[in-house]
Amino acid sequence: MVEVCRRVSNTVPKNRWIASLSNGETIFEDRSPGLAPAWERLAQYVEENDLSITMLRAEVAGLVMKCPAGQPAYIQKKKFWSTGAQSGGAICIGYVDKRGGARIDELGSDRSSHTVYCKDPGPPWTIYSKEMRDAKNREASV
Amino acid sequence: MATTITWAGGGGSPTIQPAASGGFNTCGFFGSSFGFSIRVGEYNQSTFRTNEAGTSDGGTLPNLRYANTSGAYVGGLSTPDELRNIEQYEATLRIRLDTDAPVGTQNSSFRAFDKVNINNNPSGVAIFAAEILKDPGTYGSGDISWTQIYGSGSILSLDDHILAWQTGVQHDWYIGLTATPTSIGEKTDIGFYFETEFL
Repeated sequence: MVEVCRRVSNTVPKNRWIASLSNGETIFEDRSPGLAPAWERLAQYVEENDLSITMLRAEVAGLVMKCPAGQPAYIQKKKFWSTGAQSGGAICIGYVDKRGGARIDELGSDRSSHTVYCKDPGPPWTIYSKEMRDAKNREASV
Repeated sequence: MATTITWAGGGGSPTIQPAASGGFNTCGFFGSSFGFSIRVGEYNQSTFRTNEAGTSDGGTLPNLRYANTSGAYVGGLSTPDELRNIEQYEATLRIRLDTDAPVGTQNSSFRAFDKVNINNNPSGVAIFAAEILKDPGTYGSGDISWTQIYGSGSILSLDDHILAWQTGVQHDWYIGLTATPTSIGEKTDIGFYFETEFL
C-alpha cells in the first residue's frame, strides 16, 4: 500500500501543498527519501481507495493559497528557474474546471505569484476526481 | 538537499557562479580570444565564463560557432560539424537540475533576454541555440538546426524527461550557443534563462 503523509513531520517541507480528501483525510506533501514524489503517491492513493481530492491548498513563505473546493481535477507541479547567476522556484497548484480548462497559480518562495490559464496538462500533474476517473474508464472501455 | 540548478560548460566545468559571489556569473562571446570583439556579421570564435561586464576571464567554455542553419564549427576546427553530431562535452552549457527525490520533468526551456525582463529581446546581438545530443553518443538525438532565441518571441524548448526510465534525482540539458552582433560596440545587455517543471 502506498505511503502518504497525514501529519506535519520533519519530512514535510515548509513550502508545501496540502490536499483534503473525500474521506475526510488531510494529506501533506512530504519528501521521504527513497519514495516517489508525494503527488505521484497521492494519485496512487486516491485511485486505490476510490477517493477524490475535495480541496487543494499551498503554504508558501507563510502565505496560504486555496483552490476552490469540489473541482473535477486538481493540478500540482514545481517550477524552477535559473539565469546561471540567480535561481528560484515556485509551487504551482491549480484545478481543471467543469469546462475542461485549467487555471494554475505559480507561487514563488519570494511571495510572487503568477496565474496561468491553459489546457489540462493531464497525469502525472493532474489528479482527477473519482467521477472523472470513472467517466474516463467508461470512455476507454467503449 | 534542496533543489538546485547549476550551469557549467558542456564537460562539467567551469561552473557559472551565483550572482552573490560577484564573480564569474555569466558566459561571454568573443572574437579570436578573451576581450577580442566579434565583427558585425561574424560569429563568436571563443566563449568564456566571465563577469557581468565581460571584463574578467574566468576560463574557457566550449565554443560553437555558427556555420549554417544545421551546423557549427566546434572549438577551433575549420570544418563544420552537423549540430546533431556534436557531443555533449562540446556543448556551450550543461544545465543540471538536482532534486532530493526522483522526478520527471516537462516544459523545460531556455531563452535569451536583456537581463531586465525575461520577455524582452537581448540587445544588439542575435543569439542562436540548439539542444545538443539528448542521449550521449546517439547521433541524431539532438536538435537538427539552430533556433534564434529572443525574449518570449522565440524560446528553445528542451526535451521532456517524463518517461519512467528518464526519472531521477539528476537531469542534464546540453545547450549549444552562438552569437553575432547586430551593431558595432560592446554588448552587455544579454542574459540567459532556463526553467523546468516537475512534481
